[in-house]
Amino acid sequence: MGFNILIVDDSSSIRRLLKKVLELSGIELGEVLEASNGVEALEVLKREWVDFILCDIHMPKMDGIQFLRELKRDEILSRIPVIMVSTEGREEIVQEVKALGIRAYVKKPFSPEEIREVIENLVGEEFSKNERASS
Amino acid sequence: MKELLREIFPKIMEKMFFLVAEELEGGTSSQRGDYVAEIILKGPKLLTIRILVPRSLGLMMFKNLFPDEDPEEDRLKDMLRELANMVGGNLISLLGSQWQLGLPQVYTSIEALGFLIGKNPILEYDVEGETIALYLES
Repeated sequence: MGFNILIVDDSSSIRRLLKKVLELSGIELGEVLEASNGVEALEVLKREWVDFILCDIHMPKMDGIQFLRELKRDEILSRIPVIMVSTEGREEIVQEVKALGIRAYVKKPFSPEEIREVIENLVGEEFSKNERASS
Repeated sequence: MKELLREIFPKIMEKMFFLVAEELEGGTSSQRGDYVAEIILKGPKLLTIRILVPRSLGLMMFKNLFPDEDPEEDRLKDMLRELANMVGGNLISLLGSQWQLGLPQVYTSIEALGFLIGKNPILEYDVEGETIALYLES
C-alpha cells in the first residue's frame, strides 16, 4: 500500500506541480488528495487518513499557520508529518511554523529536485520508523 | 525596492519556469502584453506590483512547467497568479515583519492595460525574445 498524501495550496498550478513531482519521485503512492485552504484540508482529514501533508502558508479562509494550530489541537491529526512549501522566508514566520512541529520547510520558488529530496527524506524516515515499530 | 525586485525576479523565472530573464537596460516602454498579474503588499504603505506578460510568453512558461498539459485559460491565469504570489512573497521576506501579502489577481486585455496607462515599468526583461515588464505603484 502506498503513501496517501494531502497537498494544501490555493494555487492549482502548485498542487498539480507537486503532484507531478510526487508521481516522478519513485515513492510508492496511494491517493494524492488536494485542498485549496486550511478549511478544505480539515474537511478532507475528517474522512481520509493521510501519511503526510504538503502545505502552503498564505491562503484565503484559513492560512497554513492556523491549519497547523488546528492539527496540533487534535491528538491523532497532530501525528501527521507536515512539509511547508511557501514563498514566506521571514525568519519569525519560519520559526513559528517550525515551533508548530513541521518536519521540513521548502521555499518557493523550488526546483523539482529540491522538493523531491525533501519528500524522499521524509518518506525514508517514516518508512524506517514504521519498520522499527513493526519489528 | 527596484534592487530587491531585480534580485528576486530573474531567480523565480529561472528556478520555477526554467527561463533566463535578461534585464533590458533603459527599458522599451512598449507596454505590450495580454495579462497583468498583480499582488498587493500591505505595510507602512500600500505597494502594488503588476507584471505585464504577453500571452506567447505565458504559454512558454506554462509549457516549461507543465509539458504534458493543455494551456487552458484558467490554468494559465492560475500560473500567472502564482508568479505574482512568488514575487510578492519573496519581496516581503526581504522587507520584514511589518508587511503582509495580499491575494494575487490576474487581469486580461483592456482591463489589464487600463492599469498601466501613463505608467512606466520599473524593470523590463527579455525572455526568449519576449518582453515582461514589472510595475510598482505606492
